[in-house]
Amino acid sequence: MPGSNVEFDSRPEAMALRTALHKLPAKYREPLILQVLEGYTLDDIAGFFGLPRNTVATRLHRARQKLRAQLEHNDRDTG
Amino acid sequence: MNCLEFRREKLSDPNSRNEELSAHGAECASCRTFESSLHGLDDGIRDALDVKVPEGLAARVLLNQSLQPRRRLTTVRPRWIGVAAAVVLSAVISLALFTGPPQPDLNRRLIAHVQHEHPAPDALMLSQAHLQQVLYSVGAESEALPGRVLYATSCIIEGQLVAHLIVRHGDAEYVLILVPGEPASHESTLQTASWKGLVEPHPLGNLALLEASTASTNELHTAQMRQIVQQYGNAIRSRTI
Repeated sequence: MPGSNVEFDSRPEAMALRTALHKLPAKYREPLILQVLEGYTLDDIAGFFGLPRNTVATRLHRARQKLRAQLEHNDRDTG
Repeated sequence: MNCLEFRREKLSDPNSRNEELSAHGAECASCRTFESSLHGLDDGIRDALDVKVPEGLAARVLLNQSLQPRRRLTTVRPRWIGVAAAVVLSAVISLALFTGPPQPDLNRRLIAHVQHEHPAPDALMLSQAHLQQVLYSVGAESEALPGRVLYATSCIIEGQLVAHLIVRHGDAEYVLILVPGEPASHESTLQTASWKGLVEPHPLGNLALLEASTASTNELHTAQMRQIVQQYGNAIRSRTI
């Protein structure tokens, strides 16, 4: 099974972050992954998706806001 | 620049080196704390997804696409390089979270999915690159499928990422769904008032072929469906890049 032999960080905070990322709509998650993991610039990502730079900036902004909100929500639930 | 503008900019790009941002950050402790928390979030993402995209992925994606017999080379665009990487990583997240043994009610979930997700005929559209993306998202690839693929999309069925294709084979249209995971031990059939189908174990998981039909299933038709799903099963293999 592809991917099943990949070992992931199993700490609860990493699990929570992966779950929060999975819950993000793809339009937010994919630019975020390209920026954070691949180091692409806003202009690069806008070019990949054929979108205006401002649209990508807004999606990245919302992606981080949603992630932070989800993680804070988790903290409240478990705290 | 005020705090609101600073935070908006940093949420889009925490590593931005805009001089106005730097100037504001230097004089506002609260915004420096905010910026630090964003760097912490990005570090957390990198740690949580500590998976490397295979080196040379982009080149191999393009090579693979150029080998497609029906591929229109004019549609190969550099932007697929990055998008493919994002799709692969997204799929890794999904697989890490949701890989598990098959659910006993797989057939029920498949029927529920096609009843709600069957696209209208005017929504059908496909590029070869898009088809490859969909197959990649579930860890699969194919050089050539036996019938004409009309539509392909990655869907989530109750938390499980699947590849959902609509294919034309002969005069009939079928829904083909590849559900990655542990293969079932044997073939199973399914039938409702409006759908009938067959689910076959596949090296990547389970492959379902469904047809919208009100006719009752007979052995001849089941055999025909089995032949079709096996042709697709043979053409779809585990992703090599």
